Amino acid sequence: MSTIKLETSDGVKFTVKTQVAKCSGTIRTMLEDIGINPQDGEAIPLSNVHSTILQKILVWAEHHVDDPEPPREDADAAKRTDDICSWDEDFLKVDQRTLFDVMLAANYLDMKQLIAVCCKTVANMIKGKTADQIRRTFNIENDFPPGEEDKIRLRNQFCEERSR
Amino acid sequence: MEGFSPFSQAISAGTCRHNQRTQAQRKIYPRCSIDQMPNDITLRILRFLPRYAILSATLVCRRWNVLISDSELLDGLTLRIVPFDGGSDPEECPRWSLKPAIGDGYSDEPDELSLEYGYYLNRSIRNYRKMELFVRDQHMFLVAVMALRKFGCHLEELRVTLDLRSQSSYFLRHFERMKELEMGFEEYDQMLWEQEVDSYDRCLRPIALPPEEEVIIRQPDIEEMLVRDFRRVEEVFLSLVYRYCFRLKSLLVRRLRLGLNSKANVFLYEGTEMERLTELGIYGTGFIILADAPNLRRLTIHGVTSGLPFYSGFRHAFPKLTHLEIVDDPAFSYTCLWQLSKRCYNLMELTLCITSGQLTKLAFHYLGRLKHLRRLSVTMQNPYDSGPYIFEDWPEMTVERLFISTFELRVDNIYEMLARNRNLTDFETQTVRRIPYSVIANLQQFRPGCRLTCLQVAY
Repeated sequence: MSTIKLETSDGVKFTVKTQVAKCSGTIRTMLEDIGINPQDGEAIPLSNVHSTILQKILVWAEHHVDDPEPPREDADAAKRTDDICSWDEDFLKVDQRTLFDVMLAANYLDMKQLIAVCCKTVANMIKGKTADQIRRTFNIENDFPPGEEDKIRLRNQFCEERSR
Repeated sequence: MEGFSPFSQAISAGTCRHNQRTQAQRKIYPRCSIDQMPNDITLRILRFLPRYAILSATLVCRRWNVLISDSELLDGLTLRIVPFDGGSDPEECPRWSLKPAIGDGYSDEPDELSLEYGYYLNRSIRNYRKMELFVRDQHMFLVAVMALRKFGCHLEELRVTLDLRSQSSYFLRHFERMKELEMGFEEYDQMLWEQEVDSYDRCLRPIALPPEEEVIIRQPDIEEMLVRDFRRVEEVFLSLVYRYCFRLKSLLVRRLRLGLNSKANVFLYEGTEMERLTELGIYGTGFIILADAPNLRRLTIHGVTSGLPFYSGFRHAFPKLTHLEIVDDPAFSYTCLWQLSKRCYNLMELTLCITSGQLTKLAFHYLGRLKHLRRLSVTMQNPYDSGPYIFEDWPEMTVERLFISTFELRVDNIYEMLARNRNLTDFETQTVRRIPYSVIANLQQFRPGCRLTCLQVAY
């Protein structure tokens, strides 16, 4: 079984099964199209990925290495977010920063399935929350001009009165 | 290499090496939040959200707002401007809301969204394609005009309900007073507001007239038209529809009225290019443009007193009109059909429901000119119509499905009609006088390939 070496942004070298590494579209392209020879012992540099994140991503890739190619998404399935498998759910039970790092790295490595799972996880975090709750959850600054905010607050009062 | 797991090795190596990293190096490494995600990833996340959650997301921060506004995410959203009570009781305090109506089949979506979204969308998101308006008083009128100005040019579908039943008690009263006091609309509105501010919800005002939109009511033409003749509010409003919503594909106008004698008059608007309009529905409102809608495919007219002037107003031909429905038109007569046969020569489906107009044999003679007609449905509720004789001299037609509802039919004439209409596969009648089964059986023998249904009904 062939292996290849990957080098992360902080200089850590990983030895990975070629098959696992090929979960990444970026690495697959490098190996197949550009013709980088893994036998040379040269590590493939992944300058945008930190070792902690690559490690996490490799765990995911190892688990999903035998997954069949995803069917072409039809419009109905596209919006579902409750179809995350339990292993992925556990896998993504991490702090937000790690989650977003994984997403960025997955984006860089072109791992469509992983990005989809991450997006679904984040979407689930957004669902059912008001704008303010979303802001607090993700620590987003409210950068609307103050006048706008007041107007929204006024509307909110109006709605509350109405529901009473 | 038996038992070799490069993976676990990699992990251990990675962990091991990683632990040696200094604190400083970790700080250098950019840890990210959702804010630092590139746009395409944020959009991918948002695409997994149902509509209502996307609406919340528009309120989170400017970047998200812009991102969603520029994307396809809210395409197809309907903006509904309706009273809180749905418009059932015109005498109720005229509270209203701006809210987007949504429902794309996801069970976790609420039926109604709060005003927060509606208002905010109104200000920020411009990709509405559908709008529903319910106009009941002058506040809502102004809001509706505001919405038309703002979104009109993008709209493809518009449904308008004009509830003028409260004219006497609310709408008319105010316009009359406005005339009496010789005030402009804005001035009067201000006075009205000051007087009635306690009885309204205090929050109504800022929503009703957002500062930057006040310019609408200063527009001389609208104000002039309103003051000139307040009875023509609907006309004013709908002329604005044609002015602003030039991309409309479908327009339905409904007017709620009290009593039978409130007459709907017809105004013909010309010089308004409605090139994309394919569907037009008019329910009880005296307003119509037909002159410049060359692509009209489906036209529905309910409860409009039209008469010949209206149909001769079909000055241009409607080559693409295939579906026409005319219901409750007291002035409909054979000359109207004559006009129709000349101008809507590609009709495939025609539904006529005539309450008090006169339809003679001649009328059906004109229908024979429609060479593409496949379905014809005629209901005549006037006993003085020539119901019994309508199949006498019935023209040769291409009709496949025929429905006739009238007081009486003469059986002889039915034979005659069946003999002349070879394409008929489905024939249904409703008459007051029962047609005996033996006769129906004979008819069936006469035309075995045709399904016959003869019902006796009470008028």
